[in-house]
Amino acid sequence: MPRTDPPPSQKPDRTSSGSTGRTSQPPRPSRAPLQMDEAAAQREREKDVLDDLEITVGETEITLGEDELGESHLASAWTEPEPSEHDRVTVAPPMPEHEYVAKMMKELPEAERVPPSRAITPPRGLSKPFLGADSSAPARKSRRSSARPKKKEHAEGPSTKPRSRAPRTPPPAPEPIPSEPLTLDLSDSLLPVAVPSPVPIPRFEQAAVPKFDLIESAPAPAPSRPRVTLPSMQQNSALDIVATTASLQFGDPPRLSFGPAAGDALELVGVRAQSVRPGPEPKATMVEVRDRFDVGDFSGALALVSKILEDEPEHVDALLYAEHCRDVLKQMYISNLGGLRKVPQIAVSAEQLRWLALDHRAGFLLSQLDGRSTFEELLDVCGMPPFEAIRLLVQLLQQNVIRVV
Amino acid sequence: MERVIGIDLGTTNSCVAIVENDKPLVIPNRGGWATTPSMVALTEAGKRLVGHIAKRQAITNAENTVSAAKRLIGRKWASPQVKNGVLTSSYRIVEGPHGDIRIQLRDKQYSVPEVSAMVLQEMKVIAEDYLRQPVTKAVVTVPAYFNDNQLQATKDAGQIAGLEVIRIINEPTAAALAYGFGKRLDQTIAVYDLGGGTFDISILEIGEGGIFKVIATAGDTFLGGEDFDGRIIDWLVTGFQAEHSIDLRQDRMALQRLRDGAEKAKCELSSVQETEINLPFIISSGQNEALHLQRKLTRETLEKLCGDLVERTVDICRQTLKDAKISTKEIQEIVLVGGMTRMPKVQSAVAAFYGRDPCKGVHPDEVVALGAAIQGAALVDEKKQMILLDVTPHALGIMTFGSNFEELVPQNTTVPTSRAKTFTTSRDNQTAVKIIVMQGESEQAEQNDLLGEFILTGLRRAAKGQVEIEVTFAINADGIVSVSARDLETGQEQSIQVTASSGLTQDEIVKMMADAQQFTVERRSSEEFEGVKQEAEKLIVQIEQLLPDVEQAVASSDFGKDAIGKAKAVVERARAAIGKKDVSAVREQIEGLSRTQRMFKGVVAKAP
Repeated sequence: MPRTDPPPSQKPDRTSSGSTGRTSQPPRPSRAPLQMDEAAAQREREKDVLDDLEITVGETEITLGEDELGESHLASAWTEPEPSEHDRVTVAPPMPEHEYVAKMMKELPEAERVPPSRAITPPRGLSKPFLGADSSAPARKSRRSSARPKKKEHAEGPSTKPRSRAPRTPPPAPEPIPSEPLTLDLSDSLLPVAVPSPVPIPRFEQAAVPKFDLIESAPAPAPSRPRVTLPSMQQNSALDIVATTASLQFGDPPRLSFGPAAGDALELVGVRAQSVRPGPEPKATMVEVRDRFDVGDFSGALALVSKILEDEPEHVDALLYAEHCRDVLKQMYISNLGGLRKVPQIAVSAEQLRWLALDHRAGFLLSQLDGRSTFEELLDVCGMPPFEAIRLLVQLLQQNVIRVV
Repeated sequence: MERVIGIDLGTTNSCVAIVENDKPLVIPNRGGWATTPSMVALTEAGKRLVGHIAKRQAITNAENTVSAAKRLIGRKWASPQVKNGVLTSSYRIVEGPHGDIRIQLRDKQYSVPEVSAMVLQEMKVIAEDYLRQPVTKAVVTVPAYFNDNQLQATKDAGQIAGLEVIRIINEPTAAALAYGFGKRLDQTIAVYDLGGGTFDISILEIGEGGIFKVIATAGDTFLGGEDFDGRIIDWLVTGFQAEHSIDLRQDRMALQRLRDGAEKAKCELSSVQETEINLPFIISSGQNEALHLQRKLTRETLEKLCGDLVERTVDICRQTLKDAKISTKEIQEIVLVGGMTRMPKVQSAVAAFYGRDPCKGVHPDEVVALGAAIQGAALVDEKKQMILLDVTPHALGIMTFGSNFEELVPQNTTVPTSRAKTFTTSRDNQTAVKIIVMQGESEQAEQNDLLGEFILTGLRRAAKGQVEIEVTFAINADGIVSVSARDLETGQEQSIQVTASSGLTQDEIVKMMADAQQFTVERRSSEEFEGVKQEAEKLIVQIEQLLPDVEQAVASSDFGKDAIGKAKAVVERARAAIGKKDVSAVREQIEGLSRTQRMFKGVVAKAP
């Protein structure tokens, strides 16, 4: 599956990211703590957790989406005393923005100017409006702000965090504000390096959009909504976000700390899900199918739905989703082929062909290429389901095994 | 003068030919092949496939691909050939409403003439594409052993396909015609026809003045090139199984490739001593990797594998000559017909049996169709008139007391002909007799085919054996059989004209004709649309590629903006016409697109 959500084991690093930000950002008295009553208890637990944390490339990416989501959610649901996203923008760098960007980019090692983990992040389709017109810009900024320091940390390693941050950020506060939620602290602390960078922005945006969609599509999760039935320990990052949203919207205290020790929202969702509907595994997977379908990940949705159909061949929803996915993908594949009236040819020699990693179905399709038959005729003669055949042909085309004339 | 095409409607391959400028020539199909597989398939989407494309998916879509329909045409559901076909065919054969048979393809049943009509229709289209004019008349060839019902069914197939079958001729006769074309021959020849699915041997006399007479014919309807392919496939499968413990026959895709590979190797070994069968990624090993099949096959190995098949054809030749009381020395020429006769082993076996090298002056795949075309041209041109003396493929007679078959017209009797025989009553005071007309070679009446029956009444009351009744069989040049019975004493007479039936009513044929016509219209329309669509799309792509440069060059002027706007409108209109699948509208827009494209090219060329 091209799009697979990260494993749940990456969740604790989100907290580490938060701690890093908090230590680098001076206190902001204008921001009232969100959870003053719980902050003291949590702080101690989190501190223990944070001491051992490390940051890796993949984790950076995961943390991005979640931080961004958490902030954007807060922006919409907690207007006071939580500062709006616009507050961050008002903290301008000590020089004109473009100069600051140039300076920062110059100072950064070449390898860090474009975060490698971002560069390879596949774009995700924006299928729904992006949090409304008034909130989109701040949301982007928050993503940027959370992304940059993590990349830096990754490049320098956990032990070099203070050194890397020192020359380009205002002097950090020696101690974090105990009462402030982690995520908020993280965002604020990243402000100096959140100056727009031309390269990573679109990628962050694309990668993060589906997660915003999740929140938008479920502002008040109904008890019957199956996505909350996932066991908390198996949830991926996107679903974590939904869980957080749900907890806030149900009036729970906004626990913005994470990790099992913090008694976080994941645990809350898990308990609630069990009480509402202890759905079997296939239903839980249908949630992922719907989510992927909603964000335009049709191949991922189809792969998941195929697994469901292996267990439950008559699963009506799964069949419906499979059909829709195939329809959409088929059109995409046909577009990739340039139309079914085109004539494919084998683009490699017979000797080269044998060294390719193809399966027997691809081999069969190749055996049917005679340089005269169109894709349409191939579909007629191959005896495979048309969707499968088209998918294989697209793969062969992408691997340059065949060419279209 | 209307053109008449000659069609060799074969069991496995068909071919169409025509006489042009007094020379017969084969018309290649769109793929450039001289022959077209006699296969029809229906895809999952309901699309009809005919010819090579149907053959290419014959194994992967075996249930919905009809091959060798010729073996079934004109036969009754109860016939042993059909029973055998039900057991051996990959497609489903069901009983039709008139005791005939139907073929189930997906959710629809087709009569056999209807399926054959699809092949004939393809041949018709090939000819029309070549001649660029409608074709409505054809001469179609059939095996020499076809009975009346099979002949009639073939005619019906032609009618359904929109062809008037002006003459049906025997395949060996057609081959002899092509062989003797332009020659003044007076000799006895053997036509050895080993095709894709059947084997036929015929002995003909060619007389001066263009008289062709079939003396004897025999064959095996289940012996042909496919059996040779099967031996190669067996060899490949066995070898692969020994090496990988995987039976390739269990995988349809693998089997389809094996068949294609085997046929290709067989053809190659007719000209080379050794060939390699290379089928990469033929099957998955089950361990996430695909296996390759790569084996060398020598001509010697092939001949060992298929030696018995060749020997079977020689045995049939031997038996035929024996039945016809002809020695091999009397055969002055052997004409080879069918693709399998290219195999050196076949040629050497024939040469060894007849004691002379076979003729190589005719094309084995095309000779029958060429002969049919020659006959077609002769039928419409009195100057080219020639006499074709067909023979009765089967004996004709009546059923007599004790369910015996009394033969009146022997097998291989040249037509037209008339034969009479006198019978007597079998009971005392018998006033009526039932004349049951049959066709076949068995002495037991029930083993022969029933052609018709009628009753002669008003006989004089007398002791058995005293009333004499003369039964006469008359077959005219068109093969129509008339049977009459006359009381020799009273002159009382009754007769019947045996009308062959394909199993289809006239209404059914008319409906099938309409369906076939509709299919042709849709196909033509679709092809026409695709042609103009491609042309329009090509122009649209060119215009869109030029557009940025044109905009850069002229957008600053009002005139340029206006021109670009108009150009975009033309493109939009063309796209809309394509979307509506309106051929005439697309064609109209092509003109505008062409102008726009030319204009854009000019602008870009002049741009600094």
